[in-house]
Amino acid sequence: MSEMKRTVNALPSKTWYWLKMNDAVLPWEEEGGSETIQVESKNVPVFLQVSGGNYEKKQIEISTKEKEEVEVYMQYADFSHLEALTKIHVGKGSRVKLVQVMKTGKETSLINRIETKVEEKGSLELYQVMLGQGNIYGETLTDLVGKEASFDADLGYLVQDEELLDINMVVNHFGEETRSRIKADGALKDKAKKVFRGTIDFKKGSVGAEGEETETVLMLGDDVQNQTIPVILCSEETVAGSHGATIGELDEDTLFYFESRGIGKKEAEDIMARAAIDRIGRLLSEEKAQEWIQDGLKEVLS
Amino acid sequence: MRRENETSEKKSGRKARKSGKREEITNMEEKTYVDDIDRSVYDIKDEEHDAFRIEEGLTPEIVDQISKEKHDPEWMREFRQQSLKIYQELKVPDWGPSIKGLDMDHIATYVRPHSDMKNNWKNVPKDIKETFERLGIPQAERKSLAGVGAQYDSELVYHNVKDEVAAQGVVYLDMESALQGEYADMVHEYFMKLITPRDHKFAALHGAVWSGGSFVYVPKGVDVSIPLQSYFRLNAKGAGQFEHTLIIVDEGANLHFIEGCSAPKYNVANLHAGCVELFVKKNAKLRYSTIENWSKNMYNLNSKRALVEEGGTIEWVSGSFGSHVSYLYPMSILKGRGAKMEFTGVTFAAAGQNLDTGAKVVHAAPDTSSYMNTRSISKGGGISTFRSSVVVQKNATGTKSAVSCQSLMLDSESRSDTIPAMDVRTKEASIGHEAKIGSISDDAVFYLMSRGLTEEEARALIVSGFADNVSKELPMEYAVEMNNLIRLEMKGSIG
Repeated sequence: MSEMKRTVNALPSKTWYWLKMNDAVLPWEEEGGSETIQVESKNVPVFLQVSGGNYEKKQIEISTKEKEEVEVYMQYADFSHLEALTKIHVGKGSRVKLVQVMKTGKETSLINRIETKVEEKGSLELYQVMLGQGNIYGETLTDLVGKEASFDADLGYLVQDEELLDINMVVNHFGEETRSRIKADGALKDKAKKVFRGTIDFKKGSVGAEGEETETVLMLGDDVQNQTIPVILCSEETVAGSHGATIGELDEDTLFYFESRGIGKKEAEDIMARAAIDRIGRLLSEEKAQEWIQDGLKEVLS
Repeated sequence: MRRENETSEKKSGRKARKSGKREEITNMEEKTYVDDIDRSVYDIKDEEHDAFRIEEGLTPEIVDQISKEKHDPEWMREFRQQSLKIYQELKVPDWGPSIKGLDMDHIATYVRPHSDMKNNWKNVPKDIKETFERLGIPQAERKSLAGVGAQYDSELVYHNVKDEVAAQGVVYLDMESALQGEYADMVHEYFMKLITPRDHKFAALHGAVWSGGSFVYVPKGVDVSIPLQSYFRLNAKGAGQFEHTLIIVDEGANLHFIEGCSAPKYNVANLHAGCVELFVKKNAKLRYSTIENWSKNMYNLNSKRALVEEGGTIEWVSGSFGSHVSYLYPMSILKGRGAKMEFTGVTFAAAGQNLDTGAKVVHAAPDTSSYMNTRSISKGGGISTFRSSVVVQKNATGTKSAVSCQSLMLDSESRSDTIPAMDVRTKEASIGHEAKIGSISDDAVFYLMSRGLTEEEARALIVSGFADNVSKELPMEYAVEMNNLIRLEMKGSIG
């Protein structure tokens, strides 16, 4: 297999090259075998274990017609280098809930891409938990094409050691009165590096659309690096877009709160690092998904 | 003026969204177009009486000729040639607005006006003096400035500093005099050390063909209580202006420097690639204010940077109204412990304009702080991009940084983007960022109209209020000029 370099997670609107945030470059060998998994509309949640050998490629297809509901829970485990693409079509008035728990082993890497098209009054709810032991490149491209289509994303992550989490989320608002919300919270420990690119793009014609993204990064290691670039692109007048980011260590008030209850700084930091992940767990009703998250947390924090 | 009621079809989307609102608001939705009004003050073209105009294009021979015309010392001649080589190596940026309309083969990089530099307006040729009088420069000098430099095309035609300010030891010279006289060594030490020709293609171009600009040195502990101002006027068609501003504010000193720029509009491209290097020493403070109103055929590819030492403060106040295309991001390097930076900016992009503006800060020492507060307005098909970077180095513990950017879209023909980047490499930092984009609230317009304002007045008032982060930081005369510029731009459309 020949080694070649690939770029992934390209920012839709470039900025200065010296920041090294326009895309991610990875040494990635040719992929091995590929497999396609199709998920049909069902009234019961679907649970998928996504795993594979070296450099495998998986494609997961989720499609809904009109007024259907699908819940898919995916866990990534037991692989060394895996590339997964989830293609979703959300039909008129349909709802897709996608939960992804990424528990990567040490020295593994995962490219996790999601491409979605949402029709009128359709909605995609995305929950992602990224538990850091391997490098993760996550890209989510969502086209809100129909009127009142919506996208909600809740991300929780913990990145540690010398690992990398590189995220690119792009929401294209095409339809009128479309709505998007992205919330990404997490913690960085040791020498971890995280990049978050979040783009809300109000295309011409997206009258009355609203988009919001917020990010909170807890910096816990002496050698961590956080890069954040929350982009709003706007070609329509009557829209409302906002983004906010807060990056820093535990503030004095929070520390004082913990210390007044006999909890030291180190333990307080661990609690807060877990909190970003636990938040996602609390939003999920399925016990199995909660187990995945708790088991993963135990493993990476042990 | 011509007034026409646009059919409501064009705004059907908005109407649909707002159906059910009061009848008055529905009526207000009918867009009214008014012809653009005359920008007479800025657009008057003087007949060209150039004493010397270099041939168009960019070659080693042309650069050498500029050097000869300006009686450069040998090191500067070599510096220009080296910069030209770098210019030819570097690529045109592909991440910002297109500059395909700029053809360096058709730009004259040096145009000397028919006047030497004077220190009395009476001695400045009548046509040039009248231009600056229309722009209000001599009047402002009499009323509220400590010194003025007025550049016309490639050279300064007027430079003067008040006696009492000179008596404090403040040096305010044109760059050519500084390069030749008693401050020659100081200029050599600092010139293009902060913004090097390797920085980007147009910094290299500047290094090759720079001309004009000002040198300011404020000695230790001196507080210059009233501002100095440089005004740059580019009159020549198809020409470039490449002035260099070098300011050194020594330990504990304080200065407010104001920069203004304008040009009449031609049907060919003009280019501005100035360079501003600011050195703020220990516990010193510098405020650098700019009202930029270049004509809408101008490519404004300007570079500004400040190096701030321990306890020093740099404050940028920036109003960008003109130009066809702008790339403008003043950068602050907070090198000393406790150094501070504030950037307050407004950008107004109207028809035919693509203004890519913002700021950059590098926190390179502990306990440094930065605050960016910007507003962007897009109208009539104009494109406004806010672009920023906050870099916090590993040693910059205790850093605090906040960025707030707001954008206002005045119609659906326009475009507004925000591209802010943060790179934080220490856990001991507190970094905040917030951005909003939206349109003028119909309720606010309705409120003002119910109190007797026309819709146009109401919208202009709201936009002026939106931009008050900048106007309240400017001296009164400049705040008035800025609000006039906003009113001028808002005359174009209602809807």
